Amino acid sequence: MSIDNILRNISDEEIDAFALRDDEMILAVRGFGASIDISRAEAAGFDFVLIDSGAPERPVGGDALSQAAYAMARTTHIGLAVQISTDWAPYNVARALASFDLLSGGRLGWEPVRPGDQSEAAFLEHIDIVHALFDTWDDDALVFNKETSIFADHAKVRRIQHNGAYYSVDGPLNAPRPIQGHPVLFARSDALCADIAFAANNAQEWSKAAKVMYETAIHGNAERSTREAFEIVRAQKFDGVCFSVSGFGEFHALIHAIESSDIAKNVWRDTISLRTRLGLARPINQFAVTS
Amino acid sequence: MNEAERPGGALHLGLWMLTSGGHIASWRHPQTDPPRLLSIEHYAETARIAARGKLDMVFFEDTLAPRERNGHIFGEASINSLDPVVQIAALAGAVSDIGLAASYSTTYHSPRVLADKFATIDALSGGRAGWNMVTSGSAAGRNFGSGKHPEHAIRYGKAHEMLFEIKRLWAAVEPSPQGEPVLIQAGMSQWGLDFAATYGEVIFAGFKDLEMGRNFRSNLRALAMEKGRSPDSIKVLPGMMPLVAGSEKETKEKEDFYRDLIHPTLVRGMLGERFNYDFSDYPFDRPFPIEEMMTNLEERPNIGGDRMRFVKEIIDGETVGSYAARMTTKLSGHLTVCGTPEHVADFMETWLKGGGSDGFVMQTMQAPVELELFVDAVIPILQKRGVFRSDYSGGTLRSHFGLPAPRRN
Repeated sequence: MSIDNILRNISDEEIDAFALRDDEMILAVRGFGASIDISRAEAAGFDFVLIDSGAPERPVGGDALSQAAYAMARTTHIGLAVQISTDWAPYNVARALASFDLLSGGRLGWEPVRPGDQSEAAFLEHIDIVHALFDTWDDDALVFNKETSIFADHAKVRRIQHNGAYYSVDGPLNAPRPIQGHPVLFARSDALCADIAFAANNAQEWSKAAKVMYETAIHGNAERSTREAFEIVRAQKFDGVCFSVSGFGEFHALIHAIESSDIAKNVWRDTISLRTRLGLARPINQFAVTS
Repeated sequence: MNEAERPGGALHLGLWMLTSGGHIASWRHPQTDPPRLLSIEHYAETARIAARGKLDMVFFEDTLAPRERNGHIFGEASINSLDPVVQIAALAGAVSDIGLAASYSTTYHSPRVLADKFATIDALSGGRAGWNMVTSGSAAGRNFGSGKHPEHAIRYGKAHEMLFEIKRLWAAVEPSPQGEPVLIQAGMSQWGLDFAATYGEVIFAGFKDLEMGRNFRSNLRALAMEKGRSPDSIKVLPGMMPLVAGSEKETKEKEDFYRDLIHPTLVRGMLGERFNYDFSDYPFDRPFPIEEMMTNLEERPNIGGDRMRFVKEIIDGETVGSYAARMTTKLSGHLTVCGTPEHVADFMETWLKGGGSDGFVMQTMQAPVELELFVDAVIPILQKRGVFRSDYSGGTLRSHFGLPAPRRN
């Protein structure tokens, strides 16, 4: 990763130049942290893993973001996505995600999960605040000028002073703008304008997402499941497939099936952001003044 | 055999990780590459050096609002802590042996989140996690929906309840190799002391001198005993910043170097924050405008106490520049020791043998360069004297600190 990622927007033309996959099918796996060997998934050419967080009452010790951070240090380029409950206050979420995105060189994605006792309106307000906090720093707020001793240009950092129906948050975030602008946003509903939506049936039912991936479990035979999934992706023009695994055994069967399939493997030599890898535009700062 | 006579010595050392080091202008150090401060590689490299030096742990502090000055963010310090729990989780995957500790607030995270994250990191790291239980600074409240930050007593009352719930959640899962994360505590208020004596296993403190340390430590050990704990189950680590140089002459040169690393603009900013007065255009060769300063002196809260104590430090008629020079030579609120490796080792050994502390939580002026110098020059002396371990004997944070098994709910 380089400072370029921090200090400039990546244009659409540049995104096309990074599309090294022959068939451009996005390939992902999701499940609990204990079910997935992330280094193995990287070696097998998966674009990202998504770590599920499980039910709120599950025993502690399976925090998805911590598991992803552990994997961040042990992998070099696979995308790392996590479920995050919006039970966790917006400032905490924004800070943790911005920190992870920066530390990892822009490899983060997240799927917000609404807890049962939270209203849809509160859920949406939470996510809006998180995105606003990501934008409290301009991309070029970090100056790093040793001569003039200017570390950051404080004119390029702002409060949000949000006072909503459910949350009051002042800002700014105590982290610069994420490398990806915003970490990649995943969703299983159309309530959000997600970067990537997961669908079980029909790519067209998602009007708001930038890309739609087919989500499926491994049913019995992994070779057959993966073959059928690829056929569905091609026929229905999904942007890719995300296999959901319920245990380590299923994960290994999936890896084996992928490695022996004819799907083009991704061999990424340079670390690039998850956004770039998935062909997603980098969001501009909502507070940017267009002159 | 008492602690001090145990083979491998009894000194405990934590590395207090700050982005580029403990010195306020360490990012301007010629060997600091500022963009790298945002990448995990910088922290992994620094932690590996600390592990090579057999330090007990690395520690990341936490803030829930950026540092501000004069109504806007204070650049250098505003990113001084990226999420510390994300950092130690990553380091669990990047570096072996050394303990991994982070602050996280009991006021602004639920017991479930706290229990979950530290249990996960404890499991991933093979039993090396530590949690510094903080109740958070007052700037945080405005980012969490309440205009007001709860008062001390309320925060600590809540902390007791939360810890009970957290330990209950930990007790319901498979214990890590160390049982549970080590509990660290840093408050030195009356409420903090009681909390420390009840739950704290490693205690961060700020001491001015050995006598203060000795009094605090013996008092805390006695309090712990009152609560049914062994005094050796609680370790006191004051903050410390060493500056290692090859000779007395080089020590002076390094002190000057670090003082001059602070740009005049920054000095003006530091003065501004200290006195709540704008010194940006004020000539350094003039005395302080005391009367004007007094009007707004306590207008907004200052971390660490009232501003009057700084005003009292001003020598009658002293110029701003002269005060600033004195201010910048004492760079930290914690113990600073500058000199040859032997001198630094002597200092640490004196504190240990004098009962002033069980070790130190150290910042280095710059990381990783000054840390590496400390590890290569000072640690071997301490090891040779039998005061510090030559190698890790166990694999957990608990074993590094010689702490007993946790009292599980």
